[in-house]
This record gives sequence, C-alpha cells and structure tokens, in this order.
Amino acid sequence: MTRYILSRIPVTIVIIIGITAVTFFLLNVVPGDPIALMMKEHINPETIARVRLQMHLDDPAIVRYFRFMWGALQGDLGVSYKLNRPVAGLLMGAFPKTMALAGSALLVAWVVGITAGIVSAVKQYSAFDYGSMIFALLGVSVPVFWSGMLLQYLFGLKLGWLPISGYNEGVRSLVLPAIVLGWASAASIARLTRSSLLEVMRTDYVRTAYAKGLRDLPVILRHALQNSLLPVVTVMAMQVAGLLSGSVITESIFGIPGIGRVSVGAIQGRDMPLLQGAVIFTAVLVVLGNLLADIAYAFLDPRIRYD
Amino acid sequence: MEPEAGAAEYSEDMELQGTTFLREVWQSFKRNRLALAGVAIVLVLILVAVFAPWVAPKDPFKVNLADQFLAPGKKYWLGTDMYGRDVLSRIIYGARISLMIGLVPTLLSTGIGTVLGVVAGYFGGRTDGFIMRLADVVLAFPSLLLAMVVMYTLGASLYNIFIALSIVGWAGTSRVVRAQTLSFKEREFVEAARAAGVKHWVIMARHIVPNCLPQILILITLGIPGAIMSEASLSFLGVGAQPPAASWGLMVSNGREYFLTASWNSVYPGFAILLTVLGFNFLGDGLRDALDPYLKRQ
Repeated sequence: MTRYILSRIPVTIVIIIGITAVTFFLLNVVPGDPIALMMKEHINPETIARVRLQMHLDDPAIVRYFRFMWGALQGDLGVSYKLNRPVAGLLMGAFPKTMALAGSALLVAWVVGITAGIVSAVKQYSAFDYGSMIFALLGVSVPVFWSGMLLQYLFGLKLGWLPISGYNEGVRSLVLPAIVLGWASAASIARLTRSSLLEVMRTDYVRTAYAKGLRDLPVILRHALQNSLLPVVTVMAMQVAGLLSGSVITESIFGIPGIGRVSVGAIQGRDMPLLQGAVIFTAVLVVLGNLLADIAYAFLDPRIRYD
Repeated sequence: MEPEAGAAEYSEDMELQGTTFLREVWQSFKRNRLALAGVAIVLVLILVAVFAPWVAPKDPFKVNLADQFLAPGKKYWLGTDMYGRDVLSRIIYGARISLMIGLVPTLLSTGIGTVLGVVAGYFGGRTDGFIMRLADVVLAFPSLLLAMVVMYTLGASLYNIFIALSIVGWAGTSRVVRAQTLSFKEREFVEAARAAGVKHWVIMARHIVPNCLPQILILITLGIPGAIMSEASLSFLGVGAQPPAASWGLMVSNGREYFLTASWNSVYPGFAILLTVLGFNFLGDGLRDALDPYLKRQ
C-alpha cells in the first residue's frame, strides 16, 4: 500500500507543475498593461515605470514564472491588484466556505444518489425506478443558475423557510446551495449505483446468500452493496472537478464568499494575481482529491495495488 | 464490420454485414422511447434555429420601450424584456447560438482529442507520456474555471467561447481514443498493414480511427450538451456572449434582476436550456446503449 501511494506522488507533482505553468502563461500573455488598468486615468509614465520595476513586470515571462513558483512554494501567491492584500490570505479565508458548500453538496449527492440507486435496482421497472430516472436526467440537464434561482424564489421568498442568500445562518444557509449543487452528482451516482447493483445481484455469491435463506435487506446491504459501490467511488473522484465548477456558479447566485465567487470577482475586476491564485488553488485541490480517491480505491480493492 | 481498408475487394458479404450493423443499432435505438424523444427535440431545435427569421414572430433585437416588461399574452406570447424586446423571438434566435456553440467547439475539440489520442496510443513512449500528462493537467481544472481563464485572456465574445471550449474539451476524448488505439494496435489488421509497409499516418487515419468512430460519435453527442451548458454558464457570469446577443444564459442573467416583477424574462430562456440539454442527453444515452453490444464485441 505504501509503495502504491509513493508511486503516485511523482505523477501528481508533475501535474501540479503543469497546472501552474498553464495558468501562469495563459494569464500572463494578456495584452494591455495591468498597471495602467489598475490606476485608470490618474497615471504618469514615471509612476508606471516605477511600479513595473517594483513588480518585476519587465522581466521575461519565464523568469517571472520561476519567481512566482519560488514564492508559491513558500505560500506567497502574490498580491491582489484590486484589494491590495496577499492572494494566499484571501484564498485561505474563502477556502472553508467552498469546502463547506462542496462537502454538503457531496453529502446530498451520496445520501440521495445511493438511496435512490438502491431502491431503483431493487424495484427495477417500478414507478419509483422511472421516477428516479427522470429525476436523474433532469439533474444532469438543468442549468445550476436557473434551478438555484427557482429554489431561491420558492423556498426563500414564497415559503420563507430558508435564507435566500448569504452565509450568515450556518447550516440553514447551505441547504439550498447544497441541493442545487449536489443534484447533478446525485443523479449520476443514482444511475451508477443502480446499474452496478443490478450487475452484482446476478452474481453467484449473491445467489448463495439468498440460498442460505437470508432476506432481501441483509443480502443487499451486506453482500451486494459493498461490491457495487466500488465503481461509484471512482466516479466520485471525477466529480470533485465538476463540483468545484458548479460551485463557481452556485456561490455567485447564493452569495457565498468562497473560492468560486473570488474567481468570478477577480475576472470582473481584471485582478490577475487573484484569479491566477484562485484557479491554481482549485486545480491543485482537484488533483489532491483525485489522489485521495485513488488511494481510497486501492484500499477498498486490493487488486488495484498489485497491478 | 470493421471498415477494413486493406481488403482488396469489398465483398457482398461484408456489405451485408455493414447494413446488419446499422440496422441492429437502429433497431435497438428505436425501442428506446427517451432516445426518440431526444431526436424529436433536437430536430425541432435545428429547424427552429435554421428558420429563425421565419419562425420568430417579432424582431428579437428591436427595442420598444413602450412595451417594456409586458406579461406573456396575446401580443407577446412569452412577454417582453426590459427593452420591450419579444422574449419568444429572442429564445428562437438563441437556439442558433446554442446549436452553434454545441456543434463547433465539440467537433473541434473531438478532432483535436482524436488526433492526439491516436498519436499517443500508436507511438507510445515519451510522446504518449507527454500528451497524457497534458491531458491530466487539463482535466485537473474544473472545466468552467479553465474556460473562464481563457475568456479572461481572449476577451469576452461568442467566438472566443469556441476557442475556450475547444481548449478545455479535447482531453477527455484523447483518453478514450488512446485506450482504443492501444487495443487496435495489437490486432491482426494493423499488424498486416504494418508488415505490408503502410505508413504510420495512413495506418492511424485509415485503419485505427475508423474503428474508433462509434466511440467518437458517442463522445460528440454527449459533448454537445456539455458545451451548450458551458456557454450558458459563461454568458450568465458575464464572460461569454455579450449584449445584445440573444444567448439563453445571458437572458437568464439579465432577467434575474427583474425576477420578482417579470419572471418570464429568465424562466423561459432557462427552460429552453433545460429542454435542449435534456434532448441531447436523451439522444446521446440512447446512442450509447444502442452501440453498447457492438462496443463490447470489439
């Protein structure tokens, strides 16, 4: 197991370096002078020259990249143009909110998705099965910004059960965003659990369990489900990226001051260092999430380790 | 069944097999009611987009401040927006943007992904390592965020969305095509071609890629709704299509401010997105299920 984990680390490092390089060069080839953009009208050429020198903007891109990386290794991601504060600090402030949102969305996705998947598999071709199929298809097809808006209207305004937006009411402010964000993941988890469980239910060992005289529930929960959840774990890893994509929009609609909203704000304010930091931070999160999922998968399924 | 270019004569027997394959796929596709519903939705969408000027009851860009925020009714079936423009006509013209965004970047990114995937799988070694690591890097970015970065660099416009989504979308395709290439590479027909001295690129283009086509087709049909959703999201966030373009995402975003007094401004365009994406998803799922036995036989 340790050897498996160690073997994954070099690849992960290469990918993280790739992420920083892609983001840095994409954002640093932007035409236009960031200083002129920052200071708008009241600028004289001397000030611009001085600030450019201070920020090392006249160095070649590759030199600036290595300087950026050197700083990043020490936890310094530069200073926001607009807010004039260290990017790393801003991101660390936003990070827990994004994690809370993504975590609760994942919880919704798992509880709803796995339950719906099990029931659909057990009651195959029933009304519930079709219903959950439609629920799943809607989930992957509905625009998050639209369903979010409708739920805000219904539960926030009409019924007044939950806060419309903001992040001041603890768990209550996370309910709607988590449902909106988790729906698509719940949908794919439900479908995958269903098909995977149906496959496992046809295997010999499940038949043996039934032959021993066990009832439905113990067979499904103790014998079949454990094996059928393996593919679901891999998909979960892939969903980390999707969840963080979705949280960009969800945070914007629901006014949650997380990394997604920071990114959108940075784009609107043309705040390059902040955008760069937020994007790299998020992508590294995805990579680490994938690594964790790989390890969890190897842990659950010993065959992987010996490949 | 395999489009074998190396075979000297195209025997009748093979032709028969070919038609059986198509018929088989169509038979199983036809049985899937959701897939047929998907075809219907997509067909209607294409017709509406192509004939937009004739279908739309009003000029979608004509500002008429006297008719601001009229509720849906006889004169304007789906109401009007803050400039008195007809919402229905704007949704109809929006179908053009969505279809174009669905098709162009998806075809581009599938094309790039196919070339890179087949090259990686065929040559292996360092080429493979480099291309696949690059794909890993691209896949590590949440797609919307990477698209946002590209839009930041290129500037917000509809055409830049093509580029942004192509840059984001190729990686998934390249992985699938690479995996398929690896399995075909060892097969007799490729070995025969190599033994006969056929050039590498000819082997790739004529012997391997045609065999990957069913998979590629599935990737395209399932890539289209993803691209449509990405455009809608980018436009919603203000980094995609710019006003006065009739983009559905932009319409939802603009209408959001007036949701309480004029909900039709954002509800209907959002519904159009839902219906379109749903249609393409039905179609793609149906196609995948229909091709599944064939893919398993491979």
